[in-house]
Amino acid sequence: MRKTKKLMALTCAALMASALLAGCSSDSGSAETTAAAAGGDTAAAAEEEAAPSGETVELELLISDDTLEGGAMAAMVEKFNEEFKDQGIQVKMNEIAYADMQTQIQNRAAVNELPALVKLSNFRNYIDYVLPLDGSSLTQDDFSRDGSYDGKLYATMVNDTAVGLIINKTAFDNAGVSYPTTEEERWTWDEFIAALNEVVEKNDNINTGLVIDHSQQRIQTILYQFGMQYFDPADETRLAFRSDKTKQGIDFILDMYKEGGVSKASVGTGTENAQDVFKTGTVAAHLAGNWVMNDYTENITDFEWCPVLMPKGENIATCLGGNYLYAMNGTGVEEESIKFLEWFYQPENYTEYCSIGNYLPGMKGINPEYTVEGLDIFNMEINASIDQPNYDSTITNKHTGENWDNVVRDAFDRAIGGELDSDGVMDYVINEQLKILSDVHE
Amino acid sequence: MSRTSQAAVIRRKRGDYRQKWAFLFCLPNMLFFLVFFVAPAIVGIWYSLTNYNGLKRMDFIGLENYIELFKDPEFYKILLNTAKFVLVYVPLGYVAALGMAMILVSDTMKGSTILRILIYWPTLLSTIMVGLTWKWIFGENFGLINYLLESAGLPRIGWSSNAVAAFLTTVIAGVWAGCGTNMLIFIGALKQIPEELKDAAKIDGANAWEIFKAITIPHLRPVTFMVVMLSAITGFKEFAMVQTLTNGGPGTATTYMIQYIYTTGFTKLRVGYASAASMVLFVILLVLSFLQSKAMDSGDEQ
Repeated sequence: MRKTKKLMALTCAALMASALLAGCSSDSGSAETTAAAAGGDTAAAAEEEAAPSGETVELELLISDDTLEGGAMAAMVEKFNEEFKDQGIQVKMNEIAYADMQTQIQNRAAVNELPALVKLSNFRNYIDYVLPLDGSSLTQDDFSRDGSYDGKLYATMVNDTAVGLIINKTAFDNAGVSYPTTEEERWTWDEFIAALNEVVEKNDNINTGLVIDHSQQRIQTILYQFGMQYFDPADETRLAFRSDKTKQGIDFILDMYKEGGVSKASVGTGTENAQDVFKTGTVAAHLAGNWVMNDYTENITDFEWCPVLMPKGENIATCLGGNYLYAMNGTGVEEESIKFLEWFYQPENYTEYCSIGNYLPGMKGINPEYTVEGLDIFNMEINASIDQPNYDSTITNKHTGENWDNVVRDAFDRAIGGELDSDGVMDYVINEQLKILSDVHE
Repeated sequence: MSRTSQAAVIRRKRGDYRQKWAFLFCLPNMLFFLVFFVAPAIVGIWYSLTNYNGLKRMDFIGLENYIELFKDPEFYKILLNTAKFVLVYVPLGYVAALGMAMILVSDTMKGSTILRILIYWPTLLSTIMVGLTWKWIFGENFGLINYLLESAGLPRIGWSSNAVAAFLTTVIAGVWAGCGTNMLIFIGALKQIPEELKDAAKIDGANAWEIFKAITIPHLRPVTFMVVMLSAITGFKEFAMVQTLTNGGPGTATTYMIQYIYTTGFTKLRVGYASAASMVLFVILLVLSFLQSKAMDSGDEQ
């Protein structure tokens, strides 16, 4: 008995010691890596400032999906580092998964270890930590979309994105089904569904008509086409999501996910990625964002694809989105961060960036040379779209820090899973909006 | 002072001296516990009383989060989901682990060491890997099982669009990943059952089932309780595997507590509210741990 106890005590002691050691080692390890990765670390930066000239300031650029989109930022960072190696500024990219961006920023804000620069679709959630750019040569007028808050420019629009439709051209051609590339040819939604069914029927290898990204922006694009509004155009405090038109749109989308519908519930709920499924060549069409085209150009080899115009409902509509590039405040390297931004937006550099990544420029007066064909379809969508999406996003921008980004998508997750019907979706969205947004009513 | 009381003082002093040493040995662990468990728990309690959004906003709002939480039907749904998962996962995991342990301790089994390693191996994998691996098996469009079904001319199963099927995938993956540890515990316990008892039973004409029922099961009682409680705690905390396997879907059919807390805190930026939910989970786990340690104590006394 005593022996057992001794043995247990020894084992416990050994375990404790190893746990502590592990704790210490991983702690110091992670501290080192964070300090190395976070060029913007305050203490490190203070040291760097105090250090004699000749010391290099390292700016951490937190980014996601650059490799997937063709590595345009990596190329620009390399160019910058080459040009600035004598001036003591170097940028280091920290590329992480898009889904982890928010968590990472949130956690690093809590411990005061923010990166110097961030490229992300949202800056308003973190407005308290973003560096206002009023001390730089950049102004809001240079950019296509609003990156300002309280009259100051905070975030620069690094690329615009638009929602559009990409089809499996090979499958459509095989089936002898035509597709629209001019305004006159645009499908109605019913015509589009009929076309998809025909393509699926006439191609053995196509088993799904349409995949839609697991994204609020994609879903709301269809809803806009059916006449949905988030905010009343006459009264920005009134929530207008609940309407017959919205209901019609929701029912139409949900029908696509029902047994025998043109789409797949597993993709609609995000368990399987629409982009990956489209690349397998078993799908007729993908309602996507323009940025997938780079990936498709590089990685689809066994069939042809092309962007075509989206169907119309009551309206023609697309949703604009995009990514902002901004500097963080309180990093101790603000001046250097601004230098990078100013360099990046010099027309020559920025044009190069958009050309490599096939991005729709967020800065006015830039004409990139695209290597991917068909981007003009997205520009056609942007020009033909109704104004409601822009109006809604302007109102949403006014609710800075009140994040209802994924409410509609979450409601659809539940609806596709059979937990809500179209009325339930509208209830859910309105309730969440009322909970999250201040000073609004139905 | 009499001799006896002097001796008592010396003994007491000696006792104190030993206690100090004992305390010193415990100190690292206590510090570890204070810094990594108690402190975050206290911070969590504080967060749950605020409207903290994970960034700068943090105002004290009293019990508002808790009041909202207990009125929130979604919270109850998630709690029920989690309870359902635990109720299916724990017994299945128990049977699988015990079954494998019994096969591996049997004398007729060949290559039991290799099998033991193979069965334990999933425990060493990261839970994310477990989720991804099973996603390739249960994938609706890509998955191995659906491919096999289709090749055999059978209809595909909506592993990620059918709520029951998705639930089963999380249970199967959970059992697969967790049963190695429990199997080792059972092997240890099974080996401690005196062979004489079984031999005596055999002489008395008992068959295998009777031996199992009358000898094995009673001897495994303390271990059983521990395994069940530990599995229940693990079940309540299941997160990364489910996140990668089903992403909590379809809808919220396989969203369990930790994922709910995670999305509320980090996606919806409602850290205060999420902290309140995690306090409820904390209480549930506390009760389970309390029961488990009670059972361990009574097991020791026996």
